[in-house]
Amino acid sequence: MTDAGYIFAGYAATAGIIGSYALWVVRRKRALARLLSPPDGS
Amino acid sequence: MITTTSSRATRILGWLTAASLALTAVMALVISPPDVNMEDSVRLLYLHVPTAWLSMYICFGITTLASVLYLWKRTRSRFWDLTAGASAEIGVLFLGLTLLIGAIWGRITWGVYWTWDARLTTTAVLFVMYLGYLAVRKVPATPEVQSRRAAIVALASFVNVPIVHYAVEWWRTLHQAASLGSPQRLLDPQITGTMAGTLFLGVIAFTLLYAWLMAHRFRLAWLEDRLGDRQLQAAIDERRAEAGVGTGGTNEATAEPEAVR
Repeated sequence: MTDAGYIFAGYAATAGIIGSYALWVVRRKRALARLLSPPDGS
Repeated sequence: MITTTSSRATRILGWLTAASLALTAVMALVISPPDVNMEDSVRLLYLHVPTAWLSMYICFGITTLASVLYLWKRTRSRFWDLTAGASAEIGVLFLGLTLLIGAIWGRITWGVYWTWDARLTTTAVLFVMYLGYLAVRKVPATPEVQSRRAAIVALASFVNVPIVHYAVEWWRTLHQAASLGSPQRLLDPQITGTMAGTLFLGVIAFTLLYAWLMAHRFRLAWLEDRLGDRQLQAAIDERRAEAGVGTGGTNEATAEPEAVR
């Protein structure tokens, strides 16, 4: 494969950026849901 | 105790998204052949085209539609404002990736990461405009003013989308013209076979990814909204306590949020 370094860099950056964003959204959402749930924690 | 904030449908969508993205990666990196002119750099276009298409037409399109529905008094609801904000944020993420992957592709094909070409420049302007939209959403004001202001900026920003789309026709540019996205190209496609199949699969995979991200980002926005209500109510109760007035405020944020179930 020609220019393999550039191509894999593009795929790695895409996976890294989307994965980081998805992780941030899911983790923050869970933290807020826990914070806003009733005090008894049920 | 909360162990998950996802619905069964969202989890199924998540698995479908992961499977389709993995299949796209295999098709793009292993199965699809090199292009006659672009050689292996064509593999980057299986990411570049879906992210560009989704960000400009789907993400910003939904932001615009939701903003119109918010501004129209008959349909005005916090739901539309939160939808607009969530979709724009994902659109900015995808458009940032479009610019990044396009820069890498440009380095291979043109020898430079960036050139002040009409398509590239208008896309960069669009990116900055929607970054501005996200910034406007954070400017302190009452929720109504904040939402109305953001909706107007969203409508103004979308004006640039057709300019980006037609930039390759209106001006002489380095960026290639549409391979599929115009009526004459649909009759005489410049991409066929495995390459067209991979591109189509990429568009489906990224559309599923958008739907999955949107479901989660909307719920997060809804929870942030409820947290804001709760903090405001707490501040009011505190001031009332200081003034010796009873705290009669109800706190709707303590209820199990419907959108999180």
